[in-house]
Amino acid sequence: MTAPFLVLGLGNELFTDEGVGVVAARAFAARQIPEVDVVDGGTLGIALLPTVVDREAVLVFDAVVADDATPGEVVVLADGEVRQGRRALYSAHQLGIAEVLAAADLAGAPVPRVAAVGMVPYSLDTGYGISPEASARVEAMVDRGVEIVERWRREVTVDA
Amino acid sequence: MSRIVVDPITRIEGHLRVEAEVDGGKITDAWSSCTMWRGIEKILNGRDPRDAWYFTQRICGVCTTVHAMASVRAVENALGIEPPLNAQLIRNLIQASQFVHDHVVHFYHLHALDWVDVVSALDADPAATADLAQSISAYPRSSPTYFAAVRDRLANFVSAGRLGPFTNGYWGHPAYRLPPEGNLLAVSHYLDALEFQRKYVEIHAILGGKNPHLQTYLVGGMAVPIDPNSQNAINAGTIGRLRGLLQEGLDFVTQAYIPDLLLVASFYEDWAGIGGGLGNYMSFGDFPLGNKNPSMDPDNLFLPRGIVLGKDLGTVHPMAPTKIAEYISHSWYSYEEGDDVALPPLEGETTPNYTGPEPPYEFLDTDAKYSWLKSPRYDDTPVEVGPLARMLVAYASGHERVVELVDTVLTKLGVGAEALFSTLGRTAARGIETQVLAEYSLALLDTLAANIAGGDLQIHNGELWDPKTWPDEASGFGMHEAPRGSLSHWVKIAGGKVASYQAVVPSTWNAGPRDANGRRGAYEAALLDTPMADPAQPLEILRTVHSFDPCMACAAHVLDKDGNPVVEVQVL
Repeated sequence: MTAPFLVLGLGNELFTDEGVGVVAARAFAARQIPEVDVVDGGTLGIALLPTVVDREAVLVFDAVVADDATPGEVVVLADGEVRQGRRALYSAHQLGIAEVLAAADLAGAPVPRVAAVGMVPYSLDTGYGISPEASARVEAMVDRGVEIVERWRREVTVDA
Repeated sequence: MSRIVVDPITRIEGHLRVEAEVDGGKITDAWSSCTMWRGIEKILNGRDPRDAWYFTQRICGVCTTVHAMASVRAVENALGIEPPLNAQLIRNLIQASQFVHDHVVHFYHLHALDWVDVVSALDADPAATADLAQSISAYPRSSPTYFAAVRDRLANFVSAGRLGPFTNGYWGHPAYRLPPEGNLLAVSHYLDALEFQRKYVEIHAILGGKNPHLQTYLVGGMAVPIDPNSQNAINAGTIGRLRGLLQEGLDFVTQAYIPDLLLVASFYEDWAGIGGGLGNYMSFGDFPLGNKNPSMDPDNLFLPRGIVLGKDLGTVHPMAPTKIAEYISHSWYSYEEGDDVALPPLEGETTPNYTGPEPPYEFLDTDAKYSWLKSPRYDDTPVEVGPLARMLVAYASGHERVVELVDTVLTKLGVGAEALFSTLGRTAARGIETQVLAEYSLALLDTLAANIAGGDLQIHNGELWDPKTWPDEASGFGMHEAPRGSLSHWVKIAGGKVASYQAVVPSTWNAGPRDANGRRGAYEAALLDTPMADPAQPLEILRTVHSFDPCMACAAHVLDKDGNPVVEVQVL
């Protein structure tokens, strides 16, 4: 069964903090919030279309870059910012998620609500696993993600 | 003369850059560069070789399965492990459906936009579009009402300023030639391809476990339980479900993809004389017919192994893995023996040596090192890999179904076999291959069902699972045809751990730079003599590069002859 809410971790775990979104999604899953599917989206881009459709809302975890931001900073992107593909998402699929959402829309299966929680990376070197500094900030990302998803769960009445 | 640069916009993903010199409205020379070092192989050192596939499937952002497959085969080859027939059949099924999925997505979501003017579709007459659709195919969604609805939906998007996935096109470019009705038909099927994709991925969910990254690869077999009496295994119900999904996929290919391809091709026949390139084609062959690793049993493959040289379809040359070697003369690496030798992958070295300009820069020094890709060569010869190479090797080998389909397409377009050696030929070969493999996937499923019905439930060979059974040192390779072309993984194992690992990926064969002898790679050769209607909108470069199915997004920055940016357009 497809859950009404999707938490999507994006990024490539082979480039250290590039994979922070995937790690955050995994940590989110450990909170065991009902009505949520947690998916490791890697860097699949348009291939994620089947995963995002038929949802009430999609939350993206990703590495992010923003003006004047410092490594470790947790950044929340609102609905429109994610859809516009604002060049803040740092990973391989940087433009991908905005395109996936637009393609879903065009295909007649729009995703009603979207948000993203990103972290500014400390390192993008080749290597498996995120940096210890980033690792220490993952729970802060997850907290912001949980707030958003819990708000969605209050706002959206899901038919049983 | 001016130099055109097609360069990445993103720091991570965008790693393909093309520089081309244009003179008299034609490309006179071209250089293909990968501007990002990955060096992922080093992550494998010291790890358990049985886990290598899990890491390698993250090498490529978009085609994960293929690296898992090549890795498992390499380790099995090194350790002399043979998977059971059921596992081989399921691997083939995953692979065949991956091809069908990827090729359909490539055609409609990436490459079609090089030929189809989305904005022009707004001018189409729905009734005339329906007439056109019904004249080329029995595809059921072909009524005037349907096309009117698609046109209206598209119009809403455009009027709201939301072109979404179509934002980056060169709409209105003079090199677009389809009538509005042809464009509307293609846009409609673009949307239907999204629907196709949504359904078709269930095949991988059934056979691969957790979607979207497959979790069921296993050295020695697959981690997919087979049990006719269990709800949570491959049983009669799942086989029935798979058959339905595979048949729907085949119907979409037969009724939409192939007719659309022929329609588009009929308006662009001059592209059957453009983009030919090297004229040398290599296929490792794939889809083993028995349970042997194709690395060990190259004569027993559904798609044959071989090499076609100099566009001569009269001779298929044998292909031997030992004749693969990589140059780094124009690549940002150094070899201990010097930078002008070629090393076989098992002896490969990955020592970075960046000598290029500090970004941001205008041009690369293409006389020196200019790419992070190595230059693989077969028997010291540059070769093209991918669907065209596979179909040419199969055609020249007398593969019955491939010969039949290739000849049908050539006849319908009224062209000879020489038309195959081109950008259009590359695009047509991908469609033909999709048809062949969509059909073959159903045959594979029948074989699997019959094997299970006969009582064979074995899915894993665990005899050599325990590292204590392994030799102190071992080495091997895994050959695999990925949708984009020939992929090989090369592993050395010592003391139960990975001692060295090299992956020679399709994009390296096709997008690699010149070698020590100055011979161009496949992209570089294919771009020669390409006409350019408007250097400020390098649509023609994208047509040829996209015909190879590069796996990265890229952006076009066009510079005038003084190096000043005149336009910057982001391109999918």
